[in-house]
Amino acid sequence: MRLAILSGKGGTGKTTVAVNLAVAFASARATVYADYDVEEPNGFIFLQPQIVSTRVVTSTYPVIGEECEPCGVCSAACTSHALAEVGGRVLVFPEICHGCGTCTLACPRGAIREKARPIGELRSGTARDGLACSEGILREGETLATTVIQRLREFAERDAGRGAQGSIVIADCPPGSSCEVMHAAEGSDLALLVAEPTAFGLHDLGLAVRLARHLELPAAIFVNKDDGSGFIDRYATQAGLPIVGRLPFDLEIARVTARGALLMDDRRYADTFIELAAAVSGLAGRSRTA
Amino acid sequence: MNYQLAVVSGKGGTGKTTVAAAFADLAGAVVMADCDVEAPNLHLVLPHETLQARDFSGNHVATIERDACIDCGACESVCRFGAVHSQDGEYGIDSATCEGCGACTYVCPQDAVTLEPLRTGTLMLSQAAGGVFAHAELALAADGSGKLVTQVRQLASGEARASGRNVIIDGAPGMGCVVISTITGCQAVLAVTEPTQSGWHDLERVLNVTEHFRIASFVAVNKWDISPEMTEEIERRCAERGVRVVGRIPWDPAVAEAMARQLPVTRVGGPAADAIRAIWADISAQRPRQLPLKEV
Ligand code: SF4
Ligand code: SF4
Repeated sequence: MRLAILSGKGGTGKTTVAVNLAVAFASARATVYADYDVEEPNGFIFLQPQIVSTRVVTSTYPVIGEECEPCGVCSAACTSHALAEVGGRVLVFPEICHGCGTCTLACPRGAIREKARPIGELRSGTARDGLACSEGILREGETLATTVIQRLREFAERDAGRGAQGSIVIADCPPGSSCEVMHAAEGSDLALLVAEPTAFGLHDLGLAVRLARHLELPAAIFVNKDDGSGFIDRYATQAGLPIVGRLPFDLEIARVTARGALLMDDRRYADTFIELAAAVSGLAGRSRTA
Repeated sequence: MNYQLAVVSGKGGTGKTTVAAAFADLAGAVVMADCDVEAPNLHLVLPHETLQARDFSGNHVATIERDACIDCGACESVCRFGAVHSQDGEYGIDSATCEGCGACTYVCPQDAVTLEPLRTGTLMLSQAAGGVFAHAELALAADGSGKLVTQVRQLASGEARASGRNVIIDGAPGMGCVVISTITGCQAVLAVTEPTQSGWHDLERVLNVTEHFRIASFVAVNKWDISPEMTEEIERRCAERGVRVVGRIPWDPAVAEAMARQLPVTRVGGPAADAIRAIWADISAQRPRQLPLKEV
């Protein structure tokens, strides 16, 4: 069973929900937590896994050889605008190169060779109760978050033979609504949308719902920082989506998470996630058999 | 001559839009830009009227013309994104996976593959109280948000140049492509963070990026009273790396109230508004000395 934790807007408590839910599951079942928020991965701050393996993610970029007699073909072929012909020379901008290899194919003189460069890193390890944890980290100054996300998916889920029968994968997805989120969330059994009851929160929850529908994922809502305003509840009723859990608005919770501590370790909040685990299993199971 | 200031956050949800909208209110005549094109919020607190909206195509998608295709598979062999599939021996392209690079068009012996522009978002120019406001909305699950951000920046820059005004940007969260597009060519960046472990972790990464691009950076700690210890820690670590913390903003229910009333928090008042006002006074006062004013 694969659960995608989404939020539309960042800072709604997506990671808080993802890590605590992963810990709640791990005591009973084989569980994988994967942090796909590769620009700002935060899950490991809470889970503190023992790192056992790391892998560098690379992408390629062109190197223009001696044979080049600038003809403008490669820079015109590059839809990423990573090549420019300036003053009789071809300039390469590796950070925006997608590594597609089109320029190599296009060059009439065969002057282009490709070199690999590191764009990020994948790390994995084990936290308490055997919780398998993985994260992807995009290098500063690099832009290919999608590539890191795709490699992480292979590394954390496919290569490890995880996500198999009976096990749980918790995918902590990036915020926003771009193709990055899509690559992290597609193929899940359930999208758990974490929302906060503010005007911005409601607007961005709408975005997350649209994204879940676009990916044809059944969705459920978790209300964070619930102030009893019923803001999200009214929206959920209208949209026909179940609310599967909530955390109250409470400065104490903010303080616990600010320290990087798990709410599962606090008797006052642990039940919220144990109940959430039961609720989402039920929903995801139903969507699977349906 | 005009300058551009971007408000960013690293971690999302730290209050950068609240700060940017308040700056817009305090700056008076200014051009605003919302570069958070994936989850834009500035328009929710900046009363405005949309003057123009147009489709933006920031990407391409390949399609195979069935009649011309001889199912040789040349396209599949060069596609590095796994977008070409064959089903029952017939080749086709998955438009959601296609990156629009066009490699396939170079190898197809039949010229059966064509690259078409793909609509990836909507670009808008609106009129707000203090001046025009450039913003956009990325199409759902689209690629190329960085390019859309660049469009917003260009639209705002053009308006700024024409009117001789400055630009205040509500930036994107994270530290990747959209953030890089948000801050390139800016004279200063204000990073709004929260006093949490995650807040610091994300701030550090975004500061590495602003440093990489050599852009003057300031930091403000929002909801600092959630953890005075962590606030001090962040201030200490920023001092160590030579980044000035220009202010602490307290947690304040007026922020949510302003959001609900669709106004900048400075119009509602309260301790958060006061703190933001002081930060604005600080940043705008030292700007001419500290920042090289350059044409954008
Ligand atoms: S590999 Fe692709 S993205 Fe990179 S420079 Fe060549 S054509 Fe452009
Ligand atoms: S345009 Fe590029 S990504 Fe799309 S199918 Fe062709 S080779 Fe693959």
